[in-house]
Amino acid sequence: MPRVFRYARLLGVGVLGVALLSGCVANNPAASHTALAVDSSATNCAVSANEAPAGSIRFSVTNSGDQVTEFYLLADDGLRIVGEAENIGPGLSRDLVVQLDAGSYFTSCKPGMGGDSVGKAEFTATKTDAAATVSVDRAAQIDTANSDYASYVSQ
Amino acid sequence: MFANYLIGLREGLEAALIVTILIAYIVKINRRDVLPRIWIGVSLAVLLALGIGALLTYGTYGLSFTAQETIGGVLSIVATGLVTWMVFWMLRTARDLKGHLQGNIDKHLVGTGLGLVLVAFLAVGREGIETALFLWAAVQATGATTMPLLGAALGIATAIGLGALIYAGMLKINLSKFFTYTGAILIIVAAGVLSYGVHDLQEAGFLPGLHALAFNVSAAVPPDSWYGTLLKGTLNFSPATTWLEMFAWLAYTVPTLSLFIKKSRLGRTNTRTVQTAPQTPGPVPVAAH
Repeated sequence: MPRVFRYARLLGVGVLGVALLSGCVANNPAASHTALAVDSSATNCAVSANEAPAGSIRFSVTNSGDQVTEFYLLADDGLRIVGEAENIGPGLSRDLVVQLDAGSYFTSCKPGMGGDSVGKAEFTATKTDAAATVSVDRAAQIDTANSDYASYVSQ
Repeated sequence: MFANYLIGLREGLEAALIVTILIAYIVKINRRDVLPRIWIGVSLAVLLALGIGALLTYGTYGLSFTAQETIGGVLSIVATGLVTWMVFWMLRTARDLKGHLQGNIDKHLVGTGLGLVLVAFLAVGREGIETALFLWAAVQATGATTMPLLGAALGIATAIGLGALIYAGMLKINLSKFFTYTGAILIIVAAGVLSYGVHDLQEAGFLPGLHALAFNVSAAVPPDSWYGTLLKGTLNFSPATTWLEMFAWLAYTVPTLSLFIKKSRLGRTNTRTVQTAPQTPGPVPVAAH
């Protein structure tokens, strides 16, 4: 076995591991979690609400058409993909879980996986106080940790 | 049901193709003893993909979109590298085989055991997580309807069946044609995997140019048609291809295929000299006319 492969293997495992860990999103987070339903039909892409508080949002996309469909969450430029659920066969339901910052987005579906998307609609993630509190908490925790460490070092 | 069938077929086809060539090759060089390694690679990939898929579907944590695309993209690029290595390894071994240097083949295979496991593993595992997520979604739907799961399972079964047919055909063709054909096929497949990986990374936002399309033939080749599915499943042909995807495809295919053709020609002339060598000492009898 060439040595290159051993490195490639290590690298592969490492990249996969990091990607898996950093890419994990809670399936059932606490109160801040918002669950929305999307109905993708041949002609429409109906989202159960056009706004939700920023944070963890789960889009449960159900395909009620007879073609394989895809659901897209696009940034406010209408181009950049923020999230996508692929391979939603007829009769199936798949989830897209995203961590959204406050701002405006677009939702759309692509029955048939090609051509123009249908039912493109604006979606807004509204500012929440919860998010702010979390960051204040975290800042305070970091401060505490820093001063604790400083006192530990100076002992 | 037919749409779900096509998804299963598409996801299974490419893995079936690579594993089929690998197995046909091993059988052709009379090394059935290494077959278990390939099956270990395949089973590990299937189990791991189904396991991760189940964990992400039913467990506490799901996988974010960016992470899923990144894993798909990175694994695709690693898979391209491994398949390329496999093609040239096969070529080298083939040359030794034709020169009747049996000892050399044994030497190559000893060092390559893990490499073969890895190729088989990545061929199946690359899109395995995505396929597993799709399958578990079909399982979740069984409360309402079992048609999607049935369709998906039949699609994957068809892919495996096609692999078996190709395998039977491959055993019939002669060795030197086999090496040239399969090598060329694998390079084209690997090129498709690479451009697919680039597309994944473009979707994840790691690479730019997702909307800069080189061509869009979605109208002529609908992605959900049976021929669109076959093209996607084998060559990873995307009807809407970005410039970067096309560039990566060409940047890989042109030099790799040229090198492959050059090397396999070199191999053929080498073999010819080896085979004709014993005849050269005597005078040429036909020269009298």
